[in-house]
Amino acid sequence: MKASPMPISQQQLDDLFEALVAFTDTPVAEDRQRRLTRLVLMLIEHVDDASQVRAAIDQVMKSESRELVLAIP
Amino acid sequence: MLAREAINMLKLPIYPFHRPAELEVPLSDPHAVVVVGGGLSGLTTALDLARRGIRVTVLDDDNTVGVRGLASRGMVWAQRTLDIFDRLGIADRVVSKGVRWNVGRVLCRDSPVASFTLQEQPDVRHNGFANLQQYYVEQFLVEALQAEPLAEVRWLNKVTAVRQDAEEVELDVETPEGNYTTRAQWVVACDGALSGVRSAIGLQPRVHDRTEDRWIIIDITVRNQRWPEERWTWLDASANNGRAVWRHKMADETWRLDFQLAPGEDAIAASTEPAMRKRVTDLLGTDLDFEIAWSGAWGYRHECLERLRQGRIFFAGDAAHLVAPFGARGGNGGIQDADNLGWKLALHLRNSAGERLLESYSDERKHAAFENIRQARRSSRFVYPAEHESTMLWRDAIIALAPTRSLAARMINTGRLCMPALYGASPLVVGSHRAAGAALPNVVLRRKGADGSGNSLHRVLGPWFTALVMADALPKSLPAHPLLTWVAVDQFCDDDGRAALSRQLGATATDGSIWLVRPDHHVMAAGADVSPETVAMWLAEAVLQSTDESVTNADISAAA
Repeated sequence: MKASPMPISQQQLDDLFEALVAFTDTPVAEDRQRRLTRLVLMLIEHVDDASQVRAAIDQVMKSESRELVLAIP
Repeated sequence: MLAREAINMLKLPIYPFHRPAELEVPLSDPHAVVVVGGGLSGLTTALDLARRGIRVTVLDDDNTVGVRGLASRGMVWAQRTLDIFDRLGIADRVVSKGVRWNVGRVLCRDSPVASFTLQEQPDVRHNGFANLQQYYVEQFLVEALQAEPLAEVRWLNKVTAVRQDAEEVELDVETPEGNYTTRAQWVVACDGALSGVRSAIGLQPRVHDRTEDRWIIIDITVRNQRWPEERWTWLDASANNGRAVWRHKMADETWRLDFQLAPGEDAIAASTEPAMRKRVTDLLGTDLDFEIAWSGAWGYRHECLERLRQGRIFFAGDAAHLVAPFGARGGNGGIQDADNLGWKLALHLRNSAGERLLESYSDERKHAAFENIRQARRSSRFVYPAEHESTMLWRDAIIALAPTRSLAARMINTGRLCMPALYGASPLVVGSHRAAGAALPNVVLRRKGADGSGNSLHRVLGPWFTALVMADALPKSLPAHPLLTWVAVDQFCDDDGRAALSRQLGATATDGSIWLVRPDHHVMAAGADVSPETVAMWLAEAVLQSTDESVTNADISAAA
């Protein structure tokens, strides 16, 4: 059985926030988007669970009162 | 539980001016230590020195505590501060007069999105935080100092000029009955953010950042509400035009409210009685029956001196470093400065320690100041992102997700509360034990049949260094050192007490390890297979006096 990871500490969360701000701190919007999309892909690889990723996508869309419109339904 | 003290301060105490001896005749010998500034850091430094047998004179340009009336100013006192106050004998007064709390709530878009409950810590003497207006804390310190025969507080004594050479410091002082010049072997400058001592010797702190963020404090005394004694922070209160608000309870049914002002908002207009009352009732309701006890606008910046010592002058508190108030790191940091400096200066004056120990003050407390600045900057950036696009990007996402996602809610940073300083990188630390450099937790020492008076780990330590032996008896042969007290901790505990020690220290109370604890209760070194001779050697090295101990003119000008 896979051991559950330790929950992220407050200090680790604050460190992550600082790293994320630095990660997207560029004046060029396209650079920011490129970094973020690559980051998402790498995190998906780490999560390794399509249903969880899909649920997260749906939740973000729902928070904007939208639904995902797939190009090929 | 302690009953609340039955004092209710309606106006600040006025302390009398006494004509200083130097107005009649010049000093034959310099004062051992002059502390400039009778605020938190100065009074704590003076009390610590007097308790350690050092004659100390405090010069303060005012004749009361606090500033500009009943200003709450610093009001959250952290566990480490309470432990220091415990050693100095005023913790019980602070705790009994103050308000204990351990629940904090964060509101986003006017709804609670996160809360934290500081874990109940029955193992340690002081649990959570105590809120108390700064003027009360200063009053308790003054009263403790008044009982010390080695301490003299001179009110209405304003330092106007400072000169130093390798031997002593000379100070020009202005009083209502004339001016005088006095001399001191050492000066501790605790005279605040606009330090006159600092200016007098041409020192400037390095400003790390400053913002346009402005706030207004409105302290209100409430008659008809019994809110829970919790810390609430609104990140974006609609009642404050989408800006932040803090709410804390203090003594005397007084609540501290800090409202973030809008960019460009006129602080003077915001400080009128009608404007303040509207702000309060918009947030808390029109049926609230309250009086405004005090108000004042504030901004902040982060700055620190390059060195916290120049020659024979040490800098402490806001005179040494400034930090935004997010996390209550200013006052608590100043008290830790005093705690760090007092024993080092006392040992030096008793010819028991050398320059290396004095120099470590600057290393250790500058490191602590930078940690405070680092943490406070994170909070201030979250609360006031200004136009920083990248911060806004993440902040907006966090706020949007916080109501439904706990991780996002935990990322809201309106202030991470002050923690004890870690001196792991200090030149005084020996070895790599994980506790080295940390403050020793003030563990309650439980023992069946004890009188219940609450003995604790700090109370069994010696006045200077302590070799804390995790066993029920001391080693048979102990090297003698006048500054070292040996304590076998196991003798103070039953099984419950030993379990508490293990939980807090991560060491079993019977494993025989030895922890060398400094006079300020920070661990200097620790180890499981350490001989008593090794411990004595660690101590000897820490207080080592070199052959040339004089303060040179190069030292004096080095930081300028």
